[in-house]
Amino acid sequence: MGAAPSTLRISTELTLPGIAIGLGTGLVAGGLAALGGLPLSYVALTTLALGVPLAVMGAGYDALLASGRIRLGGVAPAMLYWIPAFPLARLFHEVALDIGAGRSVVLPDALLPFLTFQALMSVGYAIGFLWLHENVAGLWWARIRHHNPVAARYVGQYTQQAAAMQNSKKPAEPRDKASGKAR
Amino acid sequence: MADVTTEREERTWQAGREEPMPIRELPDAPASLHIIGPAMVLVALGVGLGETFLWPRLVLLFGPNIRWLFLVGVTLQAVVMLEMARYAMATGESIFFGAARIARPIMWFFFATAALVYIWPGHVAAGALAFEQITGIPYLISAIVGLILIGAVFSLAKFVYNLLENLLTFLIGVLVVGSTIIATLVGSLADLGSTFVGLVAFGYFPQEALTAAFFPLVVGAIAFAGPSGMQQMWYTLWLRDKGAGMGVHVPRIRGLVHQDETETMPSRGFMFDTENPEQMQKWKNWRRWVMFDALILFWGITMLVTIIYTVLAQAAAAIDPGVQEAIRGGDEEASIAAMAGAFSEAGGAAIGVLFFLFIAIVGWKGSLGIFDAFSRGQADMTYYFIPGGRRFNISQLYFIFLWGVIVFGILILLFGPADGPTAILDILSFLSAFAMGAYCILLILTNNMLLPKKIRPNIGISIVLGFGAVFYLGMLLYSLIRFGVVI
Repeated sequence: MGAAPSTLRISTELTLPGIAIGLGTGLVAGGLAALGGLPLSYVALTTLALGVPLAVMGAGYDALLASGRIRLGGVAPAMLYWIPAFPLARLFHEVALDIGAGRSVVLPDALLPFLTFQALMSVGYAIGFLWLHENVAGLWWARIRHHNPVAARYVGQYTQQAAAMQNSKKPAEPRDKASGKAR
Repeated sequence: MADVTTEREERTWQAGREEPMPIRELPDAPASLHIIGPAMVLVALGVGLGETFLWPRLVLLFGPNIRWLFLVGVTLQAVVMLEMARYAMATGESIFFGAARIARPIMWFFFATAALVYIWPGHVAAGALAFEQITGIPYLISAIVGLILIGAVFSLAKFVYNLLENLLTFLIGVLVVGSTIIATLVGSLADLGSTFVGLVAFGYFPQEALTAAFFPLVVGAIAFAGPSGMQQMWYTLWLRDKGAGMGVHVPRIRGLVHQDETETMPSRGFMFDTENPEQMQKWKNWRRWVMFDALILFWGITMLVTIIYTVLAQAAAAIDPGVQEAIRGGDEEASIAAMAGAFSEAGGAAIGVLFFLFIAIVGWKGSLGIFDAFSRGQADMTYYFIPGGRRFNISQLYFIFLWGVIVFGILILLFGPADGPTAILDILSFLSAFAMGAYCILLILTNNMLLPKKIRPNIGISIVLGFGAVFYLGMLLYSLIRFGVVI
């Protein structure tokens, strides 16, 4: 075994799944802009303006998860987290697009309805985020679990669950007992 | 009818007409409430063309208030799901086996219905049509490639359920995140508000929806609210494969290239000792586990996705009134094209493209899940009840049905109904309602007659199931009698 990894490395590693999903979402928005034939500068701007804040928020989610403040795989905590986080990211996106276009910053016409709408729709993002996070993060944690104690803890929790669900499948019964004719 | 008997070697539970179930240990339920459960496959399947296509179309035609029917449909489906799980987790048997325990003809009815309804490649065809809009590749080619891909994917996997779960999880995750982003870019609070209000506009039913042209469409859409047709019945097979409850005692289906590892399939399910307090506590934990699946995952996510797509549909109609007119004019395929067109106007061509892409994914995913489930169900019934069925193992039967349905799908696409894919889809959705009414009745019978008293549903649940039967069959019969729609 080599030297123990630094706390910074451990923490950074744990936030990568959240960051990846946030940036991935930014890429979806950027991809849309690119397919729409918008200029490259706009494509880059919308990718970053949405992807970066969502990545930061995603990292925040992972940090809370690591500290034990958010339950692993929990739907309700993920929703509660994204209700404020998603509208903020979208607001940042809108403002950044204004700045990028050289316009004076104009907040969306009706700020409150805008934020309310984004907050309600955040539930959709929260579910999708969690859904992907469960897929992406699991693979990543399994990879880093040997040097990262928090990841090892996550993997342990998942393994326990998997053991309850999958590995406890009993071996089949002997043939003579198992295949009697229906009465 | 049912009673615990003590035999010389082992205790059994006599349920209905078939072989008694040996008493075995109920395993511990998973400790943590977790997003990964068999309901996820049901959600991933259920969230399909009903939510993303049929319901937005109804909203464009009749306004958001028609959506109260969706609320009723999905809530009913959550109850059905819990009851399907009750039988499957208590016995490790599929609901088809339960049907045979009541009377074999009931099971044969479902065997025949599945064969009639699910062999059509409607989902993949609709998806391929959307794909054609993006890429220009003729839908026939991509639909056939899509079908072969489905067969290949399942044939090469070691454990079919795990693969299906991973694949659907990823697709649905991308779909939910992507759709949300589009909706937040083009939708508004007003759209969302009217969608919510529409959900509780109980009793709203516009005169036009009662016409021969539209009533069958409404019935079909109700059948497509949540998991349609027999998907709920197949859910019992996934529960068994996943090892939920007594399903832990039954082996899993394996991929085609791993057939040599297949374990011996027991000839019937098992029951646990409901007189043992410790076992009953475990049962309660399993019920809690599946309740989470039903309420949060299934009900919540199905609602969410359909709300997102209704917001999108309303946004489309607001941007381009031609969307509504195109559908009213009777051109069904124009629905998807018009909505995509409207989104293109609002947010650049790309949003329209993305919308098409999601419809394509939803279509392919629909066929993927349905063909898998259809093959599971038919293999299950063939193995247990067709003479000579046990010369094969259940995994081999599964692949015979899977490749059979794929080959049939390709033939239909090549030489079948020329009306176009959406027409296939409508017939399919209309037929689904019948199976749904029938399984509500079946559940009342299996769960009240075949299970020990302590784990039977309460009277309220049986009433809800009875209402479900009247709801689905009533609408279907009304359509048949009033408008003479022949299946």
